[in-house]
Amino acid sequence: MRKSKLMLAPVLLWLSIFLLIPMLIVVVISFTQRDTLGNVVFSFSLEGYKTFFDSLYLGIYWDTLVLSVLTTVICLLVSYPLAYYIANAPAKMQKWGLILITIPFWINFLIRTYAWVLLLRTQGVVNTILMHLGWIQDPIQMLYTKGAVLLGMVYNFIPFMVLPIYVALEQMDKRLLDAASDLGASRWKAFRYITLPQSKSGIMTGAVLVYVSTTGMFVVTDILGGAKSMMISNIIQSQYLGARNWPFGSALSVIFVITSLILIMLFNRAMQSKADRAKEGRA
Amino acid sequence: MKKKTHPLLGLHSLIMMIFIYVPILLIIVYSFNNTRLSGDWKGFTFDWYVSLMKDRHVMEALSNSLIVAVSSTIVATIFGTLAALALRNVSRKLRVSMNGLLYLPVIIPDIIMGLSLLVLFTQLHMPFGKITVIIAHITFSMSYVYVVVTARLTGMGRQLEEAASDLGASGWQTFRHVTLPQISPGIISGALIAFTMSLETSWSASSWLVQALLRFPYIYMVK
Repeated sequence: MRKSKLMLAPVLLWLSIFLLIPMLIVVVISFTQRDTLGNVVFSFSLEGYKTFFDSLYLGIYWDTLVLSVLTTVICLLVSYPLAYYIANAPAKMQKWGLILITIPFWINFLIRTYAWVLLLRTQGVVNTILMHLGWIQDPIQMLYTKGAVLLGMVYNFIPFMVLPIYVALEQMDKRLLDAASDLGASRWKAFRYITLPQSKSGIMTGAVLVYVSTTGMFVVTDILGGAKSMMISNIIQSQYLGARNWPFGSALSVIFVITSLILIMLFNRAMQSKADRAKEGRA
Repeated sequence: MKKKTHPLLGLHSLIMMIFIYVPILLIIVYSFNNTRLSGDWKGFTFDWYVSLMKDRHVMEALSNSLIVAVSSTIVATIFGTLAALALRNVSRKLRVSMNGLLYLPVIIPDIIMGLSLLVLFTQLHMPFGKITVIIAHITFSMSYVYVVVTARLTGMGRQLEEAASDLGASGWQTFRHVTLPQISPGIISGALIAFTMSLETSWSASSWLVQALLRFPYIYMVK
């Protein structure tokens, strides 16, 4: 117990200095004003929060939420089978599978995202191939659409979903499945009532990682979405670095973090009740 | 006895691998492209690699990125694992609040964390450079390690460790021979995520690099 607290001390100290204090500063700044030069004036004001309720910002905020949730759902749908496949492969293959999934993501996402520009633009690889095959007559506009942004996000965050689900599936007791099939459960039933609940922690971790990374990502939106699609993080970044309206940027950050917290809590609760239902089904 | 997985699963995984690797291969192909600006194929060349090797800035940036990624991964992995292990043995109240604290960097988008650290470093008059970047990277990546290792520990149960200490193993021996081997997949995944995140976040690349399409991506602006 004492040793555990001693182990915690450096972590706690670190997080206090480099996480809590900076976040507190942001909260404080969100309630201040700025002067005409863009300097923060420490007098109480709700100006930052009032600006947020402009219809323009609310619209962008809504778009951000929709895109982030969509990215998370699609990532989950495509990554789960992949993680499942890797977790059930022979041990040697598992290692290679993980390495193969991770390596491309050591290349900076800026470069990876530009690769999608090469693929998607009007004279790009995809359009060229489709036209050669005669499937389309004229190039399709793919770049600078919301679909392109969604694709770029999913592409960039697949490993964040695969890795945690893999970890959860890999440590699952596989004998449970044998037991289930001995007792006459179909493959689907065994998956539904054993594998899925056991991988719940992985799904939750992966979903949170992907969701938050998507909400915080502004580069992909810039590159694949063009000027049309803005995300809330584009605005936060420009308020801090370009427009120099720190109070508004901070207010946006605070609202944003709080929304994420609420969404994640709701999601946790939903997952919980699902697991409970699964338990009832098994009983 | 091992059950075979469904062939459709294999197909799906194959398609996913293709999906993941096509853009990467495209980048590699274009890195030999004999043109500066357009994305069209203009013939084969090694010029980019030659100028890459000659470019001191790029090489320095590359080494900076690797220094940052490696050192922040090491510290973050140690911190994250320590926290995950320690939190098993503390009171429920402390565990819940520490857990919340450790989840914060995951939940707060890195843009917001980055900017808040920017504000802090400005207030402290800390010069921006490798150290501040490493600090930022440790702060957000230790949580990822913590999350993954905790998931592993939760699934593991404590029977084996209890058995080991019943059989006379010391605390360290139990840790070294029972706990560590069991949680190592979690630690490795966590470290991989931390390393990946660190290289990821080096987006503050100067834009000329992007135009050339390949060229090494891992750039930090170091003053």
